[in-house]
Amino acid sequence: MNMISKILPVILLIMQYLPVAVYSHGVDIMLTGGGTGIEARYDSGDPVSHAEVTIYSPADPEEPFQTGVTDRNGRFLFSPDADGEWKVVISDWTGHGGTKRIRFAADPEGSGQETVSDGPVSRWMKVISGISVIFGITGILFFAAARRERKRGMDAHS
Amino acid sequence: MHIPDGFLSLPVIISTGAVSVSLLYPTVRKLDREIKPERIPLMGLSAAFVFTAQLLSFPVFGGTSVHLTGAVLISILLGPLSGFLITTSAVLLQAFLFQHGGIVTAGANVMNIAVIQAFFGYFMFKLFAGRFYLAGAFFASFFSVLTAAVFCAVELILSGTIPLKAGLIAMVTAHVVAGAGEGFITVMILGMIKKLKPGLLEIEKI
Repeated sequence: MNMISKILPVILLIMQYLPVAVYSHGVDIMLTGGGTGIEARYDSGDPVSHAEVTIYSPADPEEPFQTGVTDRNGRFLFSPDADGEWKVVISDWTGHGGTKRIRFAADPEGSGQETVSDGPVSRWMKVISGISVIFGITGILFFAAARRERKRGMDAHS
Repeated sequence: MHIPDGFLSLPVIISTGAVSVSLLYPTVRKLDREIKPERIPLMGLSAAFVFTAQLLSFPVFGGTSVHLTGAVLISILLGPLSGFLITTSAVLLQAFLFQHGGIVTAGANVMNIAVIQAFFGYFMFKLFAGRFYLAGAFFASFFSVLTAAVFCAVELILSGTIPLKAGLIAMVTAHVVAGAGEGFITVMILGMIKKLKPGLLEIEKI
């Protein structure tokens, strides 16, 4: 008797989970094609690996449609279920990241997606144009300062 | 460390922007009064250096990437106010021309990169420089990059963009490497100047 009273709770506990094992829903995993892929790279060309991705659907720009992490190549794939502008936000937790808007239109004939953003400017292009702007501004300031100095000198003379 | 638009909440944007603007205005006024015209080309060259250094990022472990800021080096060479103004110009130019860092978040980026690194970095350097010039420069660069990273993380955490613990750890570990790199390059450049053209170190610090 004593033995049974010890074993009974254990048996009951096991039985409680048995129906779950027996009647639980099966899960079919199927392969699908397509989807919309993004690839994030730093401007050095290195992939933004394992960074947090948040996708917002056109219907709800506040509540994320999907969250995930880029793979080691900085890629992420999602399947838009409605036409419109989808927003993708990437953050690598160190303050680097960005936002991209993708206009998705389900086109029965083909891939049917176009992105709405301008092409990346090469890093060297940025460096050269930035330096040019800085030198330009420096030149203007130098000219203004030199003129002011000269004026001061002439005032002191007269 | 260049926070893009959409990553910060409004209170953080306003408070960091206020700090940056309230420091920038007196700095520009003071420099405008005191600076000699001969100094302007040197500042322009320094701005070009900072701008380029900040665009060239190198990857660190964990997939993220960091870049030099050059703010402490410029502050040591030209003085904290000049360092602050030069770094601010570079940060703003990157944001407005190339979307490298947001426009709405420019105040926060100026605070993290220019205010903290130019002023705090220079202060740290002054603490050590009397006895250990180059070691002082290294520690000033290292700790100012780390402090800026912590400020950046706190801003992102307060905005709810990154989780508290994981975000702080990611930020600090990435910037320990960045700080060491920054310190190393600062020391290398200062050492070279000290050896080849020591007169450059004697420029008036404003």
